[in-house]
Amino acid sequence: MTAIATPPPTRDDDVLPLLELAGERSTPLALGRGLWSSRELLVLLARKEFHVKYRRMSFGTLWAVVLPLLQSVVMAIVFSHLVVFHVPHYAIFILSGMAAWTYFSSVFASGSTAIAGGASLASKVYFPRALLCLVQSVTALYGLVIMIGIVLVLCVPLGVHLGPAVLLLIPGILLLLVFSSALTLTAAALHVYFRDVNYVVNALVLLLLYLSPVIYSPALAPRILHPLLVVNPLTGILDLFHAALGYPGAMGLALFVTGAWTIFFLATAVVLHSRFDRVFTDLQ
Amino acid sequence: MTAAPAIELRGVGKRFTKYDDLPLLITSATRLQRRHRRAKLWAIRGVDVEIPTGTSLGMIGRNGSGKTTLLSMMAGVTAPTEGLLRIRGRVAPLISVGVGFHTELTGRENVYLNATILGLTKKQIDQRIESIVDFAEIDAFLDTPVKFYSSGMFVRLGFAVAIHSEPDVMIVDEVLAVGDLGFQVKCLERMARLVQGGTTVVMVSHNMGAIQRLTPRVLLLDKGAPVFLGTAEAAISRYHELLDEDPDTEVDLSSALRHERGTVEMVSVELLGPDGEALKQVRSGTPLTVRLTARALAPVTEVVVGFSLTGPDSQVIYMDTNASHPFGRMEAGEVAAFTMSFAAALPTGSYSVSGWLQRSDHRTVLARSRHAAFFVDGRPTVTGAADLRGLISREELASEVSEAVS
Repeated sequence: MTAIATPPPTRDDDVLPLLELAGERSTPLALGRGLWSSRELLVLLARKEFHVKYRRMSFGTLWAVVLPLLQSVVMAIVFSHLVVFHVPHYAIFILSGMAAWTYFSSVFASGSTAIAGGASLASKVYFPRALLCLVQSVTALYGLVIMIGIVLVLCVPLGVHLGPAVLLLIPGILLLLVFSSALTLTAAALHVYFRDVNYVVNALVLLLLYLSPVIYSPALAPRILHPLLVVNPLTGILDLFHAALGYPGAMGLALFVTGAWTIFFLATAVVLHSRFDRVFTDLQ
Repeated sequence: MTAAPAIELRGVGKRFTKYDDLPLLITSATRLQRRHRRAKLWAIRGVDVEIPTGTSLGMIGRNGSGKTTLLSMMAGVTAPTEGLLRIRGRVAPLISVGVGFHTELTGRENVYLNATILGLTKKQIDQRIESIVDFAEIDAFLDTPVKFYSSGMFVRLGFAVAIHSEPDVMIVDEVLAVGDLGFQVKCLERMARLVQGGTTVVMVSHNMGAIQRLTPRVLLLDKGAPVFLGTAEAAISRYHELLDEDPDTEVDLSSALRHERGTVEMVSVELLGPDGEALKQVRSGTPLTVRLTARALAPVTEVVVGFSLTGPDSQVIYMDTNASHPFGRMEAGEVAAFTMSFAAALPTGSYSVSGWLQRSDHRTVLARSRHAAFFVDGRPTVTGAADLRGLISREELASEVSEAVS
């Protein structure tokens, strides 16, 4: 009752926020500010996404890890017996690669439909629509952290020596996060206007697993695959993950290519989102 | 308080592109398909309005008039194609209640989620959650997933959060149409108090009673353009004139009736006050007359005339005919007026009357009138379908009380 009599709370006590809309375009600066001020919402939406996915299951949040783990084990068994890649401690190699891959593929697959899928929320209240994609980037972090934890713990019984190189995981994770988010933001913006983006994304996810050095070391890949591995933006990220655990990778060039792709998709995402952020919901 | 208006619209317009089929990335990239079937249409155009801080504006109009598009722009959900829109202060859009509610989450979790969406910080929500739960009357169910809530509880919780976000500007779309009557009254009271406390309110509603009570200034929109801006009374009258012109509001009487064209032509339907003047807005209890004027194109032996009164929820609340005593023969070319007099013993709201002529066989409709819409300014305490002018009194039963005490 009394709460209503108090003056309305504002973020800055004196200056009321001012919203000016003239035309459909928005600026990268305004977009950035909007994202920054919605950071609490981002965390809350990610938590909701996670809870809703796993709350009602008897194993609970364990499922976020069990599936990629199971997939890795199957791959490790199949590939180490049927195809011989001559990689020492193949289980660790494949698990570390799968940790990065699982994060990338789940963010890319679910995030690229997030803007169109979030229309029921977005058509009723404004927040930068990029948030809907970033929610997926944040939600998937949980699985990534646990997978990496499992890899590091398994290194001990398997006798893999962990040196200071393990710190390469930090730039590896950062690059993985930024690249996955930038690509997803671009795909999600396109998906609003072109509904077949969904299928293109699914096809890419299917192919990229085998065209990236996840199950094989780039050095041992057949020659024909080399040019593809060089232009593949995931090679640089996977190299960092592998290098952290002592596996030699292509490094250098691959990292440079990944950096270039990341900047390209980041720039594309900024251009698309500044142009369409305020009108994404018009098509719904 | 700043002198600048809370909301300014300068030549605001919004154009949508309507696609028959969404284009495909592959066909667009390869130019296999040159042009997609699409049409551009203006949902709303040419709106110039200023809403001073701490006042309220109602927006009314028929379906497709552009109200919702305009409201979405004020909520910042979509941007105008042309013109300038300026909003000062934190906006709470109430385009629907419980935005972002997820049925698997508990009431408490949903309050935090919903309030964060409306722009509150965690600390602010911590302070208000008790008051929110109080207002929503759901304290026993706060930690129950909302999928077990009744629809009434769901709506109450959503509205409670919105109203406790204490925004500078509140954008409301038809939310009061939901919830039970008692809660609607509570919400209206709360919103009136928000306005007194300096909140600017913009409200779209088909509920003319709510509009009249809450927004003294009303913008009337029609076919994507502003038609009238002025007092609620004048705007509501103009709105009911527009409703009259709408050919789509004919009642479908009953599928069992056959429509016979070319025998009788309906000339007009009018709603007249006690002095025979045309009316659009009346006080509850005013004696009214509906007058149908019809011309016979061919002779009809016996004529039955019927009238129906439709209430705010498009429900027929009264219907009557003279089927027991039909009128006599109408000759070809004859013009006659048929009237029904009644008292508008009705609560506040939008109503419409219409009439029809039928043969005495009860199966053949000869002609139907349009709907004549009008607004009843009812007694403030009355809700329901009819104002029965009930007399509420109290009787002192002193002797019995004293016996009971002793």
